[in-house]
Amino acid sequence: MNIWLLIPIGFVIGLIGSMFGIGGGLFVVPVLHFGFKVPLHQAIACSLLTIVASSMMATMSKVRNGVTNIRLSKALEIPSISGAIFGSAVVGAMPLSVLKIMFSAVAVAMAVDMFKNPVRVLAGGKERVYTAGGEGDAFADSFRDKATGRTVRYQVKNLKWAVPVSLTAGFLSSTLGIGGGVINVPLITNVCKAPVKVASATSSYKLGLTACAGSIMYFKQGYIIPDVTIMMVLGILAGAYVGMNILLRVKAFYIELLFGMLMLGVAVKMLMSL
Amino acid sequence: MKDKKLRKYIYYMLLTGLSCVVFFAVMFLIFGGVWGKLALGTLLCLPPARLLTEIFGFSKSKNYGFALISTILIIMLFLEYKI
Repeated sequence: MNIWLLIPIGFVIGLIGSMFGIGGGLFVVPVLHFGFKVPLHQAIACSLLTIVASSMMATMSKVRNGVTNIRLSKALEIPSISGAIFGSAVVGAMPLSVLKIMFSAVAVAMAVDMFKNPVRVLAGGKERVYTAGGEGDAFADSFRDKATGRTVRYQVKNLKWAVPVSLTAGFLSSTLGIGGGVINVPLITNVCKAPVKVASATSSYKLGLTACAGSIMYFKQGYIIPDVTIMMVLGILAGAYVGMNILLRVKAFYIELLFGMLMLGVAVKMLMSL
Repeated sequence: MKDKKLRKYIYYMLLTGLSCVVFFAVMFLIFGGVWGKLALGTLLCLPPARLLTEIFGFSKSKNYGFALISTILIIMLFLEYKI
């Protein structure tokens, strides 16, 4: 296939990835490996670099609006990276099928929880209301939601649960080879009770660092194919910029609905690979 | 909105960095050669640069706990590079 096609493909992946706070590795690796016959290791290396690009662009577009909760991201980064390191150390000793079944069950449960708010809104009810945190609350924050024109104030809850869950998320992400975003967004939304837009932006913010740690090794070992990666990166940068602006203007329940569907899709894919 | 100044620093740092990435990438598409490695190398430098900005921003606002987390993360990245 023509290599220039990677720019529009990257655009679409960047758009989806930045809207949902996922890296896009879920799509980049199959596209490069099956569509463009790029060897698997090179495809993974390219995918990691595109996640860095998508995360950096998403951060740049979001960080000034206050949608990204930098402090929450800091609190969850060390446990998730530690979990990933532990996961990569024991990956051979774990029964993968058990992990896959466990992940699928959790993903379905999180998807069901994700659907609660959209179903309530579509049935004529009100959108979820968030409680504002006090001045002394280090993790409480606010942002202006362009879709509704209101300032959303929220409090981050259950941080004592979010830290071990984040550790498990990092572990699962490295043992199952799934991107962090698919776990981060439901974690921040369902456990920390933060708005889904904050979850998506914070997840994008967090992903760049994890992907950078992985891609350094590939870069050093010369797995990067510059022309393929650069085409993809250019498309993804443009897509991520547009995606982030769409995210700000779309009502939250649409994002929850679509993300719930994405979670169900990942759970089915995981079960089918057993 | 918390950490307003830090957000501003991160925004301008990323704007500069990503502009360089796009510039180098376009140069690579036109001329090829070393521009590709420059573009991807610059891209890989952005997450550590963001961490450094966070350390600076959090230290300025006296949030030393968060600055410490960013420092630990940058050490983790450095160790990963050394390994």
